[in-house]
Amino acid sequence: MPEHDFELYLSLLSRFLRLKLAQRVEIADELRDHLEERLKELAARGVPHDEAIRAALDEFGDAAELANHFTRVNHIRKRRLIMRYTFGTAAALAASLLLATAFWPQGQVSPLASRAIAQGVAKEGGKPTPAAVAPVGDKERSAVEAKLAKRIGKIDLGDMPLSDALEFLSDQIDVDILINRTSIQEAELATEKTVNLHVKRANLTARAALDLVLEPLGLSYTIRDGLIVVTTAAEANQVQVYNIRDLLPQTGAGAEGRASNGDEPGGSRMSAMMGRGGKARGKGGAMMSGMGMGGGAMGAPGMGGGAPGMMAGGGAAGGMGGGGGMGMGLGLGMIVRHTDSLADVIATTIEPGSWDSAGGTGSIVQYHELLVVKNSQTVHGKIKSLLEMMRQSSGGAVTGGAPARQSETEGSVSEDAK
Amino acid sequence: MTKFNPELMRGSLDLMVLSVLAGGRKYGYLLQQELRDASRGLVDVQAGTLYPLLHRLESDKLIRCKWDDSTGRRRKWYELTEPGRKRLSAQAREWHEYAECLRTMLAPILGPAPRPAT
Repeated sequence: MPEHDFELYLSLLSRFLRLKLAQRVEIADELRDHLEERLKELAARGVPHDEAIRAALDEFGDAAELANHFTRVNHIRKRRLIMRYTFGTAAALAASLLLATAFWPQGQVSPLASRAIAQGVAKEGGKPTPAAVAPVGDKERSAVEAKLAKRIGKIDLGDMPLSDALEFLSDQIDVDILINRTSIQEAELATEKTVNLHVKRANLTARAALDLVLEPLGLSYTIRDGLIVVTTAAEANQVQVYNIRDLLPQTGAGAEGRASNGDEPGGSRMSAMMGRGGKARGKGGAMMSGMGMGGGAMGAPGMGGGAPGMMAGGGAAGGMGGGGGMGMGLGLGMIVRHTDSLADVIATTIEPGSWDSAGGTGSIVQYHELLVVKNSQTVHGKIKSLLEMMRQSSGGAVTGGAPARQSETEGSVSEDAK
Repeated sequence: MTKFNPELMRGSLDLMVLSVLAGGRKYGYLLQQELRDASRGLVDVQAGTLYPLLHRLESDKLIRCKWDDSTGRRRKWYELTEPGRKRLSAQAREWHEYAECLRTMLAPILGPAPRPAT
């Protein structure tokens, strides 16, 4: 291996450089290019291989001394930047705090309309599209999410301070990553811990890499104003809304005739539905919502009939009760079962301990064809891929293209996921 | 002719690098070669000197860099910035006068055939 000696020299140099990882990598890349060019030239002139390698390296001189030169140059630059950087960071944090308090009072799900974020805004592979109902700053959010979906290839972070690891990721995706030290210190989590992450074969997305770096430290992140802010998992909870319309078996009153077991008469189907509702929740309130739903299905199916029942469901059971409400709005028991299970699927498969039902801080509520989720970005990322997987695997099983088209035309809630 | 003593070049190396970059963007290795060619082999900057110098000029915003793989290989390219161009023309004048001054001063010592300054 002709480059072996070069790599040795470069890693030695890198060791002496008192710089951030990204800068060290950049310097090594630049010098490697030079060394290889030089080697090529010397070889073309007929210089024996070993001699050429030695000559190329000699021209760089002592690794420690060279490292010292680079370090000094970069520290001068850093001092100049500090003032501007501190101001910028303070301003951005102040702005995001303001936004956070305005839209999202503590311990409460924010008003739906204000944070309706379309599921699939930043699917793997990009193509971000603006959400139809977008709160302030959402364009920035989807831009950041698109960058997080970028594949960054191999990662080799050994015994690196968290801040260096984050700086490296930040440079990879060209998004600022800040550490909310106050909240992390209050939670008595250490920011000084080192990161060890070696991924040699998988081509990770930046999101996956960020999760892999933060999870072992009990940290997570939020996206605010075009920045990524690293903080504790609890602090990082954010509300997002997922449009799951296309995962529902059928929408609208036309679904009325579709019974799960084919030719059951309407009445028995209804009672079966009610039984299911009761079983799922085991609460009086839930039964009430079942009744409301039955009424909806029997009388005027659709939105009008469903609305009162939905309110009852939401009020009585709260949380998951919203799922009952949703089914009612559409007036079909079958949908109730499907949507209930979607919230359940998420809560039981993705970070089970993070949901309020298990003593965590996250929550999940279904409202018509929207899933309102409050949890960490890590969980949001996992929900997105889960829904993506469900879309792919249910492609034919669900009612085909019809719902997708429908949500396209009706862009008033949020943009379509496809 | 022997190569110039690095001590002698110390104050003017920045200027030489800027003047080579005035001819278009270059990556480090290419820049080193062109310095050598432009000086007919008299200026041979060691790689260990060149790269910290480039980083310093970049830090002073006289040049800027960009990674790019247009040559089929990902490389760090340097080019002159506007302040760099201004610095170059201001210092070129100054150095010219300096060299002229030195030449006149040293002329009696060298005798009838003084070597023109590069």
